[in-house]
Amino acid sequence: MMQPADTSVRTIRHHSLRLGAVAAATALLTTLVYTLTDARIADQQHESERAALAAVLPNTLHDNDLLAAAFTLLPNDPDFAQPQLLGLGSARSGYRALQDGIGSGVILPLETADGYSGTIVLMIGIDADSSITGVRVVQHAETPGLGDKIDITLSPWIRSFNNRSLPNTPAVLWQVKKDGGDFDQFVGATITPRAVVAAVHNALLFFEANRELLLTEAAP
Amino acid sequence: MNPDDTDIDRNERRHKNQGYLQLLALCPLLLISNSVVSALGLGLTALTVLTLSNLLLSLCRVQVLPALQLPTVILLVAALTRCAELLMQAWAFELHQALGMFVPLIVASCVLHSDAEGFASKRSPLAATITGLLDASHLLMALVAVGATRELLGTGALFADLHQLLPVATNWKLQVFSTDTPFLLAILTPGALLVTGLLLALKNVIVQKPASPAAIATDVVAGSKRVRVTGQI
Repeated sequence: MMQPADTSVRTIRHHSLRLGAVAAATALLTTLVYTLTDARIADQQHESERAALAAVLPNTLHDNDLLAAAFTLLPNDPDFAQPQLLGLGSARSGYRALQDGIGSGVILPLETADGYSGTIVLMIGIDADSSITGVRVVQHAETPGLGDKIDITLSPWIRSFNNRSLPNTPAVLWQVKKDGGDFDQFVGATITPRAVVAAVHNALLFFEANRELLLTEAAP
Repeated sequence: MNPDDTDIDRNERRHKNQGYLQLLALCPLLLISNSVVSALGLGLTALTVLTLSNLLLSLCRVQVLPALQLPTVILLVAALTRCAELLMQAWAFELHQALGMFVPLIVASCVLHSDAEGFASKRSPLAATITGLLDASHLLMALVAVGATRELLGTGALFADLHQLLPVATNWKLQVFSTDTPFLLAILTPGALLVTGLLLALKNVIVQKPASPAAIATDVVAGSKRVRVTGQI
C-alpha cells in the first residue's frame, strides 16, 4: 500500500511520540518503585548476609559488625601462607570477628572441586581457640537426594564439625567413617562428604598457618 | 480459497497457536513451582501484573494506536513485573531468594495473556480488569495444583516455608507422610512436565466428556469448506 510521503512521515512521528510517551511513563513508574524500595532491599540484603554469617560464628563471640570487617581472599593469595589450602577459584570475602578490639575469630570462605559434581563453596567460622564454630554450604550442585545432605536445610550433618579442632581431632580422623575417620558418610554418597571433610580440615590447617595475620591484623 | 474461508482459517489457527503459546509460556513458571509457596509466589505476582496491566491498558485505550498495541503491552507488563520484583525483594526477601531470576519470566506469560484476549484496550476498564483477574486466577490455580502435587509427592509435606509469603504462617507446614527416600523426580525439573501432563489428563477425564461423532459433525459451520476438524488443547 502506497502512502503519500508526508502522511507516512506524520505516522512515524506520531507513533514514535506515542511509544516514547509510554516508555517514559513506564520508566517513571519503575524509577518510583525503585526509589521507594531501594533502602529496604539493601537492609534486607545486609540482614540476610548477617544471618548467614551468624550461622557459622555466633554473635555472642564478637561485638563488631562483621560486614564492615570483611577482607578479600584471592586464589593463591600471596599475603597468606599456604593459600592453596582454601582451594579458592575466585576472590571471596572473609570476615574478622573482634571482641573488645581483640581478634576473637574469623570466617573463611573455602572451595573444593572434589565433590561429585561441580565446585562446593563453603563458609567456616573458627574462634580464637582454633575450634570450629560452624560450617555452612554456600553453593553446590551435588546430586539431589544423595550428596545434597551437606545442606543444613536437608540434614544436620554439617553440624558434626562444630567444636572440632586440630588438637581434639587428630589428622587421621579427618575422614569419613568408611575411610577410618570420624565423620558419617551418606547412604549412596561418600564422595561428597569426603570432599567436605577434607576441605574443612584444610581450612583449619590454613588458619593455623596464618593465625596471627587472621586474628590480629587490624581491620582495614 | 474465498475470503470467508481465509477468515475462519486464520481465526482457528490463531486460536490454536495461542493455546500452544500459552502452554509454552507457562512452562518456565511450572518448572519453578515445586512447592505451594513458590507456586503461590509466582501466581500471585502474575495475578497482580496481569490485572493491573489490563486495567491500565484499557484506561489508555484511546491513546494506543493499533500498530503500537504490542510494544505498549510489552513495555507495560515488563515495567509492572520489575516493580513487582522490587516489591517482593523489599517485603518478601526470602521468597525472592528462592524464586530468584525466575520472576521476570512472568512477562512472557502475561504478554501472551493480554494478547490472547484480543487486547484489553478494546474493553471497558471494569471488564478488562475482571478478564485479567479471571485469566490470572486460572494461571494461579494451575501453578498451585502443580506445585502442591510436586511438593506432596516429593517431600511428603504441604505448605512448607509459607512464612516467606505470609509472615504469620510460621508453622503451617503439613506433614502428610514422611519418608527417608523422597520421590525426587517430582521435585526435579522433569517432574513439572510429568505432573502437568497427568493433571491435564485428569482434568480432561473429569471435565471433558469425549465428544461423540455426532457432536463433531454438527460442530462444522454450515457452508464451511473445512473438512478436517482436529482436537482441541
